[in-house]
Amino acid sequence: MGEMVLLLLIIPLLGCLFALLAKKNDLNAFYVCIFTLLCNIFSVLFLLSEVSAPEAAIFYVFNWLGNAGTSITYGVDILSLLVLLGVYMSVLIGLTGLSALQRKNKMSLLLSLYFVWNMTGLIVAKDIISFYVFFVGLLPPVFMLLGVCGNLKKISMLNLFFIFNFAGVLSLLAAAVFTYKFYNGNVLLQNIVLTDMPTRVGVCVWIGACLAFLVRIPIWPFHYWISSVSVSVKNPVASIITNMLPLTGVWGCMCFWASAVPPSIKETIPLAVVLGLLTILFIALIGLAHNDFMRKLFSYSTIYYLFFLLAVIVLEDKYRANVIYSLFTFMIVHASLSVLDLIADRVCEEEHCSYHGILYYMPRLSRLFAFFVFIAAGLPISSMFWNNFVIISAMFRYNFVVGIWCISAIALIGMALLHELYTMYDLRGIGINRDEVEDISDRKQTVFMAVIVILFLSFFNPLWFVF
Amino acid sequence: MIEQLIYFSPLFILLFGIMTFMCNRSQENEPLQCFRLARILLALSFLMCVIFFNKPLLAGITIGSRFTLINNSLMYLGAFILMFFSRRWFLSMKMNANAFCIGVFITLLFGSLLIASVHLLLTVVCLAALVINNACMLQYTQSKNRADGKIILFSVIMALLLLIGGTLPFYVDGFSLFYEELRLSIEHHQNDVALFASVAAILVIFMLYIGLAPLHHGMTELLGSVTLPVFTFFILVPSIAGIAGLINLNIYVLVPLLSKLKLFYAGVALISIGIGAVGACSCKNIRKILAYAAIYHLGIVFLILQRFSLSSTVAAYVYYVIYLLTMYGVCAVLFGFKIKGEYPLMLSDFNGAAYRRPYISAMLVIFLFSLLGFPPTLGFLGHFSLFTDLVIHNHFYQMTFLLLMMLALAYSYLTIIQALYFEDSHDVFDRAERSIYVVIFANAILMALLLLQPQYLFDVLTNIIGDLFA
Repeated sequence: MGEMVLLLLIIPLLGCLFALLAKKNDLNAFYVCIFTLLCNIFSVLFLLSEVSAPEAAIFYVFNWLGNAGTSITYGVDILSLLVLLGVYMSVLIGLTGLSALQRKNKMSLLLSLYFVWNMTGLIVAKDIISFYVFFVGLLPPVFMLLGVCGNLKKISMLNLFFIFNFAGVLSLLAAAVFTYKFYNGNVLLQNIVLTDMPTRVGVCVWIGACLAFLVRIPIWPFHYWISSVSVSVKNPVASIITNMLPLTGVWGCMCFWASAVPPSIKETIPLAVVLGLLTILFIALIGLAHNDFMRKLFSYSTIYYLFFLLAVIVLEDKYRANVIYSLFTFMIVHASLSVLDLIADRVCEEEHCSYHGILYYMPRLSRLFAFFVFIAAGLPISSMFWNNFVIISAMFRYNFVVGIWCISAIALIGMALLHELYTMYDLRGIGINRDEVEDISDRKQTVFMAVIVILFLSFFNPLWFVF
Repeated sequence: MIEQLIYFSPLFILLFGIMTFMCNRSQENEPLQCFRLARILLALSFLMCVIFFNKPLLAGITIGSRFTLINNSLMYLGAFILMFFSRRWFLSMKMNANAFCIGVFITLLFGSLLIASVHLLLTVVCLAALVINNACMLQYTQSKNRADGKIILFSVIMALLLLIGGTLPFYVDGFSLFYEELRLSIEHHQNDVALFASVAAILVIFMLYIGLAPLHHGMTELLGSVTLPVFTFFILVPSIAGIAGLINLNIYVLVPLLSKLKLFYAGVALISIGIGAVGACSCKNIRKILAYAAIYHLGIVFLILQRFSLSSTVAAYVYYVIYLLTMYGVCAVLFGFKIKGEYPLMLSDFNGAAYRRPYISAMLVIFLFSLLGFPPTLGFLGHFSLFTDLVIHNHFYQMTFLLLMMLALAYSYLTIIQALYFEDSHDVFDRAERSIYVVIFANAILMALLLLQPQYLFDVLTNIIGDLFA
């Protein structure tokens, strides 16, 4: 069964190869992407059916450098499989939102598959070297995607984004090398706590790792670069992938935090919590103030990632499943909203009409859009409601102020999204006929309806699709 | 006697080549014939090198080992790639390639001797010849610029003076110049200031030859404007002999002075790393960026070499071999970009090149990420061995400095990627030769194989360098 884990890594690589060999200005690369993601989704579903117990896991080990202590370990459990499923489904949703021209952009499709490969590797990595390898590997495809599909006027900002992330990567490298030295080889993430390090070195290692994860999450004052480069991206897949980058930070914290933190680091938790809370509210207010849906969506994703991060840091391990269930729904909702907004945006550009009231003219899009905004705003129509409820209750138990602060930020960003929904229904300023606007296609509507069914059924059982 | 002459055959073939190119005054069918002959002679010489790799050329003065073989292989491979790609440029420019071929052959001749040398006088003579040859190669393409010519002349004179100054005290004090005996003499005179100054003088020449900071200035400035064949020569070939000669000198002679030389090595290395990374950031010329990056990477090799131990020498050599393999790829890629018969220099000339030459551009990006140590490229392996070595030996400050400089270097590489992918295309690039694709592909395959099975690289290099310590 361990080979199935390896298969999860091999399929996207093969997909990259086929996409590379595909003809230019053809749809082959697009179909390769779809097929690759579907293969991985079925593999994950198969593995989910095998890993039924919450504590069960499947591992695959191989010796890389040939000497003792350098074994590479990959493994999956229910939670990591669910995150993987969320990633694949998000990218798949992004692919459905591509325009005819974007479907022929071989480079962006290739980079997307490469990103998926790295993301898979990061989530299945169980030792520090492979974790570092895939954590770093995510940076080049995101950088290239932003450069190729983004706003070329912000190249200097993109360079800063890369350098800033690279600095985080190097701090993780330092942490990994220190751990390698003191453990006398490659250490499993869960065994980091067993590494016998001097206290000061231990603190440095943890600071290095935390810095690497924090730069991925746009925590204040590091939020600016990623927001300024990502909101201008018009390619749905690139937009979804860029907004998935903070997930790597949250996942990193989850992996490292789980293996127990030194007491000296635990003392700094209040500081991290204060920083996180300040950012969460600050970004919620920014989201409320902006008039652009993409910026609101960016604020929404940042707030939720920080919310999950805080939950990982301050709550007990038994709430981790709730975090992952909520994260799974959140990723799909975020991807769907990004795609639907970009479709509406594209229609506005083509028809030279105002963004206001566009949903009034696109009834199909309108229904889908409203459903996803309602889920994002926290209405009880998906598993996100239950799981957020459990997490926030636990946060209230941990500290009343933290709970109030989190719920305020979530409510504020929910308001911001609902306000934007109202704006998109508001007819003032629109100057086109209803017949001139083309609604989304049947095929797209079917895909999104399927997503809605998946999310709605998850309200009753988050793992209903596992047999 | 005949046996000894046969062992000499690689050098005889190179000498024959030099003589032939010197005597060849005909301009007809130049330079294709010239390069054809050069490639045949190179292949023959390399074949002889491989067959007689463990036979000393001059008993007692040189050694033959797997270490000499691997360095010779790298040097010949670099020269072969250089010859292969340069011929088109010389043909399109209708330039005489004799002088260029002579320069390459002289480097191979004295480079092979330097790699195998275990006698200080031979080392010094080879170094002097190589420094003069380098100066001539630079002068060859810079004849119009008198100021640069003066810099070259000045550095050559300084180098020769330092060489004489560094070697004379050993001779005057009656020391044997054979490495093993010299080491014993040095062990007994560790506190001798004059002796330390002599060693430092010789090391300075090595630095000058390899192109380390702060003696880099002339080299980087000139490499920014020389032709691509000459640039490729300087990036790929001379440093191999320099690094190998230095490793020999370290292991066989300088171990007793380890404690005193450590600071010298670390200082030179850190200055090179700093100047290389920061200098690359300020350039808009791709060759200058790569020349500064070479200083940075060679500085790293110098930094790890500072301990003279087996583990550090292996780490340094692994890093160097990976750097060299990557640079073979980078240079091949540069030959793939040609605008109206000329190889572009400035970054702006590469604007939007990825849309004209997508595969070559993608490979350049992969090679650049490899130089930065990004996984899953081979460069990650080199960087991992480098950082592990630094941390194991508690060089935390050096590691922090290195990490900061990596950020600076990353910025300069980003400017190249930015030009290739994020700018609009203006220029129409000439059709790239199929052989360039073949070489790049072969290089990529080799690097991928080494990445998948890195233990071969580590085991082979550990065994080879372990032989030197035995």
